Amino acid sequence: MTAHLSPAILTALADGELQSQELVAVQEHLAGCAACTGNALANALLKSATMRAGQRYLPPPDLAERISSQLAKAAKDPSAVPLANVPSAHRDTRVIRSLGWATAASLLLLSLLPATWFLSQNDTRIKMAQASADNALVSEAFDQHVAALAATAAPQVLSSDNHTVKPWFQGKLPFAFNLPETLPDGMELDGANLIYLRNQPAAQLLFSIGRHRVSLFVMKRGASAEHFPAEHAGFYVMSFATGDVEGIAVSDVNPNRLAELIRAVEAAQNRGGG
Amino acid sequence: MEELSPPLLEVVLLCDVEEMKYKEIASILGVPIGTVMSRIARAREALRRSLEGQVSSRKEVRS
Repeated sequence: MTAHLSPAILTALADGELQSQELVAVQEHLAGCAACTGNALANALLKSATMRAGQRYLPPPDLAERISSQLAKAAKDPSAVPLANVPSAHRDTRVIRSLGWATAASLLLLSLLPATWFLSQNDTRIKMAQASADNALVSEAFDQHVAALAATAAPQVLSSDNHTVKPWFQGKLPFAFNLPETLPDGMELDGANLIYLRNQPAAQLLFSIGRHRVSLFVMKRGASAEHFPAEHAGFYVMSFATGDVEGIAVSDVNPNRLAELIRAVEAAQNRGGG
Repeated sequence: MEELSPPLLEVVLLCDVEEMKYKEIASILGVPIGTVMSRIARAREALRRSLEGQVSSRKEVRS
């Protein structure tokens, strides 16, 4: 793939609609094309902004009514029940968001769910809200990772030395974290950025595993639990939480290698490190 | 988003807010998947132009 990516491909990439082979080809192209990487980033940011704006947006009543009737038709048609194939956690977050912009539509979505027990259980509703918050956090982390991939400037602290990177955050973060003295074979620390997630300062640690880049976001432990999706827009997402610190890693590297890095950093929190 | 026509607005809401797949949106709206893709592309382009217009007007106000 040498020509620039078409708008249709970039749109499908942002929406996670590319097949695995297409995704591999696109990622290879993005690795060597700054223009397309910039366009892909713009698309991802626009989608993210639309998602946030849409959660606060109340559509005109006639539009909500029209979608509701279409959803009802879809529910009656046994050959077109798309939501039945969606993982339950995903469906749950949809219901939460639907309540924000179209009550009628969301009630119909609820009727499509196989059971209504969750409506009567507060703890389940809390979990659903938590899953929605965690998805938003992963979206934020993904945006930051893609921005780092597209950035032409060096990281704010450019060093492979954990004794340089860690002290750089002193006074910048309301918590402390540790870095492993030695990383697993083939992994390198490239530097770090001070960024904001959930409106809180956090460390974006940049690693390389071969030619793959990894962003490991370390932040003060919040209310989030183990609800992070395993993938986001074709990128793998892994997390850890220990003590007062939690971390989320985003990368397109082999998930086994990403897990190695996560384990190393998590172990450093428990035993103390550089 | 208020500036989008209803056909474009509904696909954006279903795709970006509800995170539905193109296939699901096509099934719910009863339109071909290609129509969903083209509407999403047109909606994004309209939103991008709208945002660019807002940025330009802010720059003009500042200068």
